[in-house]
Amino acid sequence: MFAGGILTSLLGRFATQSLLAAHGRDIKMNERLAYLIMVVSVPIIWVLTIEISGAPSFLIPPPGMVADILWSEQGNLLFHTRITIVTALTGYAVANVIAIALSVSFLYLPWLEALAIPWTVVIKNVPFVTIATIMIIILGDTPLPKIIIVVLVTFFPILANVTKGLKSADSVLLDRMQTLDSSQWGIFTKVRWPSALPYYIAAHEIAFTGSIIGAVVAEWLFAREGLGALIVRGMSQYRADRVWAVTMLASALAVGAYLLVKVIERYLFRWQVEDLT
Amino acid sequence: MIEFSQVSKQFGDVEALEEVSLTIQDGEFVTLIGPSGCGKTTMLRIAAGLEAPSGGRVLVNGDTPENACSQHQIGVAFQRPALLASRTALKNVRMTLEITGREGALSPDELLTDFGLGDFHHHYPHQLSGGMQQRVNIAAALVHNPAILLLDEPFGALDELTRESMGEWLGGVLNRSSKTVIFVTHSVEEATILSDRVVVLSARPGRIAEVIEIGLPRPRSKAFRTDENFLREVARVRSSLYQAVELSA
Repeated sequence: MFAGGILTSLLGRFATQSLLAAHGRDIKMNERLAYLIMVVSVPIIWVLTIEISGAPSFLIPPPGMVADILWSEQGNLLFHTRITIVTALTGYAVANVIAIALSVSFLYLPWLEALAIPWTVVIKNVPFVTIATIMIIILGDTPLPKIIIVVLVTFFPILANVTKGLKSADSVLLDRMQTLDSSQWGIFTKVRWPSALPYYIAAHEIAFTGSIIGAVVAEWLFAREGLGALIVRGMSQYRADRVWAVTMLASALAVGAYLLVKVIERYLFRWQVEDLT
Repeated sequence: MIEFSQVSKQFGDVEALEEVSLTIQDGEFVTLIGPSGCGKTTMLRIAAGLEAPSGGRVLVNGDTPENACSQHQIGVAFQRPALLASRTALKNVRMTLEITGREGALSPDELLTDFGLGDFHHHYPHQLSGGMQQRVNIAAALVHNPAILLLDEPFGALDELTRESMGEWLGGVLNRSSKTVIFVTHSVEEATILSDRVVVLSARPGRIAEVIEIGLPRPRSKAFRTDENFLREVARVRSSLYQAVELSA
């Protein structure tokens, strides 16, 4: 249950970040400055904490020590990072395919949506760490249970958003398409999907980082490879410096995933900010 | 020609239309006016094949509205412009042709320029004023050159002055290419200056109270709005509308 607590707090933190970013969209100039201040502040707070508390380096390792690990063990760290990324991306791709396929089916087969709601509610709300444990018991230390966990974590936001987005298509546009005798395919590609796209991107903001977190937690539960496994190993060896190094890597990975989505979002919706010429 | 024969429409317990019969000739501009709930929008939606009547039938050039749509004979524009936010003005107009094919169609570029949007082809809807958006919307509704145009309060969301100039503009557009038009509005002046006939409807149930022929010469420019004959016709339509409102109460 400890793992569940960690996960909830992690997910909660990312949800808050995404909310803050949404509010900060109007103040673009300050946003970059704020990121810079944060990046500079982290080592300062870090060092100050050590200085004030007087914590020994085996409890809180200083930045230099962690940087040293990141540098000297880079080969090993990269190997495990790659494994985490592959698990996260595979699970995320599967989640996208399933969620989009279901959303589209819901649009044309309302009875299927009614039938699926209880399932999605259960999948969304059952503590997935317990499911993960069960799956690891059944499937062992193979990639499959980890991929399934990533799917379980990321699938719901995509399903909910795309389903809502497809239904948000403007009724006036749908009427126009109908009077022009458009095919269903034409209605989908020209009206439904463009309407769903902003919702889909918003889902990535939550779910793409979620895929990294899901993969790390899955490895943390039971695995010999991946960043999650390195955390467990570091802990059992009382190597706080290694745990901190992995934490830095995993955080950079998750934040990087989030920022990538923001960049794609800005590119896709660049027309929204184009000024009058 | 659009023929409504004894068309009824119920929404649950509400009688939106009761046995409405009306024939609209080719090239005629007919306005539907009446208190809210009189079924004017419902009539238009039935003619567009967007609603099925509960009783009676509508024929568009001798065929069902659905078939008229599949032959691309109908163009529609509503109060809220049916424009895709992620497409420029030009691409929104082109979308109609992507769906209907290009046979007998007008040129989207020329149409937009003709509509006074020469400098705005590559602007997105959110970068255009309400009046401009509606002109793009109407361009998108008639770029495939349909014989019939169904307009549901297209200028309803615009301010009074913009509305007047848009009315004058629409009159000009239709002068150049004759279309059969059903126009829904709340404005008596707009109805009078644009129409050949004004159909006044009463509500609950929706029925035709009176059909008024507007015997005014064309073209009717802005100056015409202060003309005595025009004002007399406006008064005639208005008093008919008042009677219809009383019938509805």
